[in-house]
Amino acid sequence: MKSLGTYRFLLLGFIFLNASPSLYAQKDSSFRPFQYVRIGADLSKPLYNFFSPNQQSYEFQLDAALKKDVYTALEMGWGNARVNNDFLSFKSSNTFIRLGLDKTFFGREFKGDMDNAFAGLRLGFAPVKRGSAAYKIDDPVWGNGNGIIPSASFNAWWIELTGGFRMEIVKNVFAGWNVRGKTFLNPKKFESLPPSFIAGYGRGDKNTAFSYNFYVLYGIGKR
Amino acid sequence: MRVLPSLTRLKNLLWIGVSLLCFSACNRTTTCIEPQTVVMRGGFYHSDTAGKPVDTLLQNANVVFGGDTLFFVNIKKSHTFSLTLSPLQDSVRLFFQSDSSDLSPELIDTIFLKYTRELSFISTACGFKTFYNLNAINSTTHIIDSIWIAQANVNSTLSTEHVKIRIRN
Repeated sequence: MKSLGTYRFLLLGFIFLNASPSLYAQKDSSFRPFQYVRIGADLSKPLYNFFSPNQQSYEFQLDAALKKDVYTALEMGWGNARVNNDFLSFKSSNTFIRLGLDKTFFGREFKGDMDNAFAGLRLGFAPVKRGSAAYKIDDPVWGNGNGIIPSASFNAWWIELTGGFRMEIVKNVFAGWNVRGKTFLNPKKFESLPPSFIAGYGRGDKNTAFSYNFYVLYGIGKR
Repeated sequence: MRVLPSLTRLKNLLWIGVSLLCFSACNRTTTCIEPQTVVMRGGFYHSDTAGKPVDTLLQNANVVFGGDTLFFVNIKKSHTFSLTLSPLQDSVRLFFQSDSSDLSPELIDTIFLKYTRELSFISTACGFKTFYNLNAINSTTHIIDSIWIAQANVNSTLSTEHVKIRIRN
């Protein structure tokens, strides 16, 4: 079923991206798109990796201003996960890419000011490889059953809403967190045996997922 | 003049970020709390004067089933029973003992049940369970008059009666 959640996400995204940029304080006629590019990494992921030995992921972001209040964002990364418990054992890995737009909320207080809060919309894609899975079914009456599910490859598509802050902490170095709410566009692919974790998305066995990033970005170019 | 964010603003930003990180890190379940087996349910009936099936309370009967070790369900003043099917084979043999205190062969019926199995994913913590689709059922007729499948799909749906057994009047 194409979930109601998908439509809700699209509607919310539409509202965010069409909100009036009335909070702009200054006109800046020298603005040109893609003049200033920021590139960075999600520093929260190494921390997650340290505390979650069964999943690893790495994320990077590149963004550039398309308009004064709209940024294009490209995010990519990779990761892997392992399930190893009494009932199930398998590994999975994936790369991912997310493309989308961020709309900032506040005007520039001075020329070159890029501290801002934003909300954005992303389309995510991940080619996922799942290794063969060994399962066990405990049955005290008839005896325990076990078997192997063959390996599989499939594509994950999702959309997400994101929102957060970016602040310039030293010249050309930005830090900020954002939260994300996501929903699969092809949830049927994940009904039979989903990976426990899809890098870039989150829990593969959930149709909706939430995640968090803490990016540190370096800016290059003319503001 | 370029104004970098104040220390207080940065501190607030950091604390909100750390709180969110902790919150999102807690969003995982690794303990299995869902059973891996599903239950097939049956009901006992007798015919009324018009030949319609009516619930029959059994005073003290047993249904015996199992693999290497036999198990039994004692049916005391009840007209229903439930048991698990074998996830290892496509058929099971059950024994219906109409009086638990009497092992006379004429008071025991054998029920033979054929089905197909289907793996159903529960979660990464619990793995799989087996769902069944009942294909055929028959029995000897010492005590049992007739037996039929009421609902072929044996899955996680609760309170469905899958098999109906009519007892001789």
